[in-house]
Amino acid sequence: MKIDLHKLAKMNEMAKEGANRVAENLSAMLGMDVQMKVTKIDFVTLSDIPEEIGDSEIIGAYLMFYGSPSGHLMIMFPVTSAKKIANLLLAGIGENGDGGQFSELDMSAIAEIGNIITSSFIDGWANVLKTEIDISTPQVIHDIGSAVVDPVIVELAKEHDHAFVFNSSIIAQDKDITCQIYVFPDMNKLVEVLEKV
Amino acid sequence: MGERVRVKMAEYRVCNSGGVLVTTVGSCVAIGLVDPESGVGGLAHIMLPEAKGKSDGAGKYADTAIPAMLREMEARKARKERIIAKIAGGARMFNFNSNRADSVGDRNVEAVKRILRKYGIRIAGEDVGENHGRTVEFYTSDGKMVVKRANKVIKEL
Repeated sequence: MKIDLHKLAKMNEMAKEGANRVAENLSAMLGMDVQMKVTKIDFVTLSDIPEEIGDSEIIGAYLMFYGSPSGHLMIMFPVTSAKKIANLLLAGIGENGDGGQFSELDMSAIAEIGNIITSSFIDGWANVLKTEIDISTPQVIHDIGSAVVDPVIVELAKEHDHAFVFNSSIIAQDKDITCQIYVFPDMNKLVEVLEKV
Repeated sequence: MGERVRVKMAEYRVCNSGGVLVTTVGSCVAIGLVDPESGVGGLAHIMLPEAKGKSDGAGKYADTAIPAMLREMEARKARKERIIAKIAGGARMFNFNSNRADSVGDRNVEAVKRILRKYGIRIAGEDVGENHGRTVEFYTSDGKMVVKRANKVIKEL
């Protein structure tokens, strides 16, 4: 596979455009300043990713996207950040789980945030690539970080041992909320669509 | 107690110095093999059932990791007829494709069991399936496998 420098610049543009839209839409939704702290594109050995994520407990939202390109997207909140996000969104309605526990309502609030982040990010891409991309409904999970990403890595590893990953981290400074976003576009489709731009 | 060694995804490790091999699995399967008499043990973290001719790492597939680990254990004076297995993992973490009955986790577990049977290795303990991740500690001195979940449930195999 060959990717020229011009295409890498285009990928950078995708990452920035995606990240900006996520920050904008989250800021509006949560009513606070949300920033994308890091946005980078890595070419990684897939089996290294679980080690990088580690074994702490996280709340993860997983979505697939379909179109040009298609791929997988995983959002991971540390437990305390997920709790704060759920509290902000639910502000007084319904039952919140206590402490480290998450109620069904908490989880659906996280799913909603997952939706906003994914659709914003993918909108940014579609805009740069002048293409249409659809997203699946989110699946939310509370488990060990490296185990959460494992099935996604396995799915990708059926075809390749390496992948491009768009890795972003979000931070809402006043509330001390952070999250990591991993986007794995299907490599063949990504190259194909970049050829056309 | 021996040294703790982390086994990464798609890797396997063999140890004859009483080490504790550690890994974390979701839909992948952790396969612990031990000959308790010689104190030789190994742990693999496989991702997929079969290599189908690919040679991108023996540790990645059940059908290449198991024979590779057995060879390495036998080279360190383990005897195949004494080797037993303990396995954990193969969870269904997400529904990738709701109309398909089996998940990659199920297929991994099925393949691991079939291949162990083919080599005549008895499964002495298992904690497989369901929908949660597992941290696995495998004690190569005696073959004890400790499986931990995020909600602090601990199982000893």
